[in-house]
Amino acid sequence: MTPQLPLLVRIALATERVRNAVAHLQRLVSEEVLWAWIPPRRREAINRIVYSGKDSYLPGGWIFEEGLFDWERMAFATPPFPPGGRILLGGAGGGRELHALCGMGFDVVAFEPSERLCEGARQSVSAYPNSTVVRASYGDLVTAAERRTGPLAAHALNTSFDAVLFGLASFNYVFTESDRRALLRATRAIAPKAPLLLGFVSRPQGAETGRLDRLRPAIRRLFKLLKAPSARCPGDSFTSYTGFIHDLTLDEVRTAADRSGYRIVYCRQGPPPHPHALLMPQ
Amino acid sequence: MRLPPLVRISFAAERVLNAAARLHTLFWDEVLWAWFGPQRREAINRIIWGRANSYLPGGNTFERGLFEWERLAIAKPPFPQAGRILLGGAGGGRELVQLCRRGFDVVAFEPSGLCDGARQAVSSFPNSVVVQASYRDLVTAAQEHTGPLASHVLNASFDAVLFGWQSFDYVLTELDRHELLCATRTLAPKAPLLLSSWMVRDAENGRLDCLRPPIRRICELLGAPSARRPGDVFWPCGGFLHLMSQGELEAAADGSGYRILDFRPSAVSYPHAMLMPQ
Repeated sequence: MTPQLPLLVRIALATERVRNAVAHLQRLVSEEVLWAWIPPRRREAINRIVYSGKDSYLPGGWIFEEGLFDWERMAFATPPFPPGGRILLGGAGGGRELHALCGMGFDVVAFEPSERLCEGARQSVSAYPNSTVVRASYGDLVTAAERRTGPLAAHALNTSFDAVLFGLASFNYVFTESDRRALLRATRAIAPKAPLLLGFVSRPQGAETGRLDRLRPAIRRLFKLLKAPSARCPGDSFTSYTGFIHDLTLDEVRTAADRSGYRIVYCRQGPPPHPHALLMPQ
Repeated sequence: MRLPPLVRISFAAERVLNAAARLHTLFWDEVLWAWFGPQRREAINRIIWGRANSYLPGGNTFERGLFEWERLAIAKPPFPQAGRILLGGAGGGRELVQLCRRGFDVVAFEPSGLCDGARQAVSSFPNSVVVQASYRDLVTAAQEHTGPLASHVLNASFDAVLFGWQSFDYVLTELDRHELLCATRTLAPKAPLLLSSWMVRDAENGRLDCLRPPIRRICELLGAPSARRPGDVFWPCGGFLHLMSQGELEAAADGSGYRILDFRPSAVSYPHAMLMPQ
């Protein structure tokens, strides 16, 4: 016979389940409401505000001070990642990866859309004159590659890059399949021989199939009737910590790579904290 | 630019729920630690871990294999490249099976029903063995030469000791940690010891933490047999555990004849330390 837990413990576990259900419901409603009623352009602006408050990403903050994660250290030390040269770093945040890469002897062209984090990143590499930090987004990289204009054009065009790195989870902020494809095509155009390393927040296959998730289609239908300007897609998430973010499946990463002329050298789903993939131009 | 009202409402709702979650956690930490003494805590932990199917072969946690930090730690000195390993808190065999595949012989032990899964996981490695036993049994083996581990750990030499992922957090008191490390050092006097811990995440000085002393006093008035101390937590999926501070880890190592070779107090990866007998 399976031993039973004492009554007090069972009550604690039951109240925990209720608490989890309420938290899930709040998150679910927030996600559906915000992705439906905040149009795409405003989402980016909101994310910039959310990230401007992230002191932990700035030099001295606890995330910055973590330095490179083990998986990043291993990826940087292993071919096809080059042992030296120039790196294009997108979604540089407050400079955690940037500072480490400069310390390893790389020259880095980094960019970050949040003004405050960008300033922090600049400050973190003030001792490395061959590296530069530009306030720009992934959209600006696409603009640079396609129209040869924008804040990144002067830094990313007519320059050769030995590797490209998308800062931790920054690829999750490219929300749609077409935007991901456009970004990877732009990256490939700008760095046609460079390996591309990206770490991302993943969602398991079969996510959003819980009991409460059955409410999602009804909420979506209601908002459509009320003429909401947009709608949430599977994987679209929102929290006060992350802002608007799209949790990627491995299939979405594979599809984006396949359709933009990259092959996946490896795609590691685990161990935590972050799945990551290394792509090579085909 | 200000955030739109809808976003601000969402943030406010999240803050309210976070506060409720904090209150819930705090209340049950205090109540459960007060009303269950050491022996019942261990029994409850065994029941909870006996249900942790993701730790069994085929489960999500098991199938992750070694974590990056584990892979890095066992790939370089002072961790040996071959030999016999003593593995405590083996769970369902996640680390165990990876160590066996790397050619190590392992004496592993685990107090919960996960032990059967660990046995199954290494059934094709005849030089490795899994015993249903706790850290307390290791101390008994070292001090009294009896108990379920005695025949497996006495008169055997170990080249390394590994405390399975976060299992050191289940050694709940300073005295127990001291005795366990002394026992480990007695049984494996030259072996490096790799351990991990969740470590203390907050100082328990938030606004809601002022509710802790009154809850504790009420439990005491009602005749609770025990009491919670800083770092003691109850996790629904993990049971009773103690989140150590760095100072507690250092004290445990120093007091039992170990020196800390390498300590990574990462908040993103898992805090872990490599200890060497002095």
